[in-house]
Amino acid sequence: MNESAIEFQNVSYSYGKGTPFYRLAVDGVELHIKTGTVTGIIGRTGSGKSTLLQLMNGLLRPESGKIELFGKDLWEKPKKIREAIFKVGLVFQYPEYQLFEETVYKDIAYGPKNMGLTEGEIDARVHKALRFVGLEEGILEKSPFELSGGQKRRVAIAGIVAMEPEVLVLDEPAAGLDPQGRKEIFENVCSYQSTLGKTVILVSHSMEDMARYANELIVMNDGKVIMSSSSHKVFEKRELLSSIGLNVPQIAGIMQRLKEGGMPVSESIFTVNDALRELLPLLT
Amino acid sequence: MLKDITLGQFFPGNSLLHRLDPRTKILATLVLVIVVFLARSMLAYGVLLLLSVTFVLLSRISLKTVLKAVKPLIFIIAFTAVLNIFFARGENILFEKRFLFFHVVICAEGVVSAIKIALRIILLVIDTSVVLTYTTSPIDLTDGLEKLLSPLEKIGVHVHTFAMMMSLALRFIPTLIEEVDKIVSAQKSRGADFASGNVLSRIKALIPILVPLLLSSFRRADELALAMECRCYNNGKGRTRMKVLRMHITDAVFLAAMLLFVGIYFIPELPCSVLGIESLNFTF
Repeated sequence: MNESAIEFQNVSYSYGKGTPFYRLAVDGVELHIKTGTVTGIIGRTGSGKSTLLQLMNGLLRPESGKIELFGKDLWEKPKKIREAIFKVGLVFQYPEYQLFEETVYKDIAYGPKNMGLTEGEIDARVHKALRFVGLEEGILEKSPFELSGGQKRRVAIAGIVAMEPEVLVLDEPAAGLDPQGRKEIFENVCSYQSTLGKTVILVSHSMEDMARYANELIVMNDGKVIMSSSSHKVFEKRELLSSIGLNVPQIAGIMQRLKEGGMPVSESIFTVNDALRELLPLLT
Repeated sequence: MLKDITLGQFFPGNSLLHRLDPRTKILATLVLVIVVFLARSMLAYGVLLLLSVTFVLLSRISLKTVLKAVKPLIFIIAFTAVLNIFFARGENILFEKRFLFFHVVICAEGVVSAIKIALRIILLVIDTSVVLTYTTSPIDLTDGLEKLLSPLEKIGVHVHTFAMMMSLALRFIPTLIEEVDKIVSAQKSRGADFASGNVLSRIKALIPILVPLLLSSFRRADELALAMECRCYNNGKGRTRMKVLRMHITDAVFLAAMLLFVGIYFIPELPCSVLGIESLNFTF
């Protein structure tokens, strides 16, 4: 259960080598992402998160260091790098802008088709992925461009889920959605871990969502991983987080203030539900 | 790969060419293009080459960058050169032989004209890029063009609209390149394969890139139009400029030098007799 799904060994990657635009995006990163977890990656804009994600599925090749996927060197056979793409499904930010087919069905089937599956398998996977993201069957024959923003986002995620990757990686899957949409997307994505036992990696700027959905957290700053631990342990380092422009979930701040004000509450509470459980007995 | 495109690229600097008024540079480029096309004798090409070298030195842009502009045209240059060498007929036959069905004749005239055409293309590219695009920011360029064309306003041509369209188009080239990069990565993550298969399947593989790109271009155009209207854009009526174009003494000197040069070109007898040389063959 706790073996590494993805392991980075001293991995570096830079952009614009030999030009004035040179930038070291990922700098000597060491990472162990355990199988069967929901791992969150947090960090400011430009801290190297997106580059890190693209290194995971082989879109980018590390300049130095080694990446292992389930114990095997990702770049052992560079010609077979496409296999990594099917094992690590990467959902980009605003994935709805990549829809292009005439119907939702064809769009979701694009990935499985590229994998070379048979018609029957593709059909089964499309329906399964659609149910997974909580959409109705009736949508399949519609054009993806007549859907609402939230529906488009789900179709795009279904397109990756239909490839049934071992690791599902999502860059800001809930950006720009309303609170209800956010909740549903995150719950869907997390059930990919809880019901199928696969690994999920999430990037989000919302500390509340991270506290709620991620078991493990990786904190990035300036291309380096500066913390990698369970989310509780990471959120306890409030000063360190704020020194790199991040913060702890709002509720954690409230609990801390209550504690400072003399209330007998625990400091390590990071979700509203936990806080409720902690505070209700005090009121009675 | 896409980032290597230098077409229309601007290299900020503070050289003499950078400081010239854009109108001066546009006119100078126009004159240079005409002169390059009119050049016939080898001596004329020599003089023009010397002039181009002077411009490169004046612009203080490294020769490597300048040659980068020629690189995409190497195929065209080689192609026309080969055609000229093998198919141009003249009196001085250098080589003649029969290979199976082919009667190969290479004439001195063909070789000379091949060299001339290659030189002509290289000169055109170097002159236009060094004098105009490398040393003039896109905004200055469109401002200059607008000013130069403004007399056409009197006969009902919407010069401002034209200039605005041009600057918007230039502005969006890097944005679109970035967008293409993003879409390509996203579709690769869905298993798209752009590198294998025959021509037809490679063209088909482009659809997942072109459709989202087209849609996002329309979306951007829509958003931009709205944003401009929100800022009360009214086709430039009554609009003043932060940077007013002004001709300086250097512009006058530069233009005078150019005109002098063209004068020498068009009246070959004049300088020849002054210099006491009869055989300077500048005619065309």
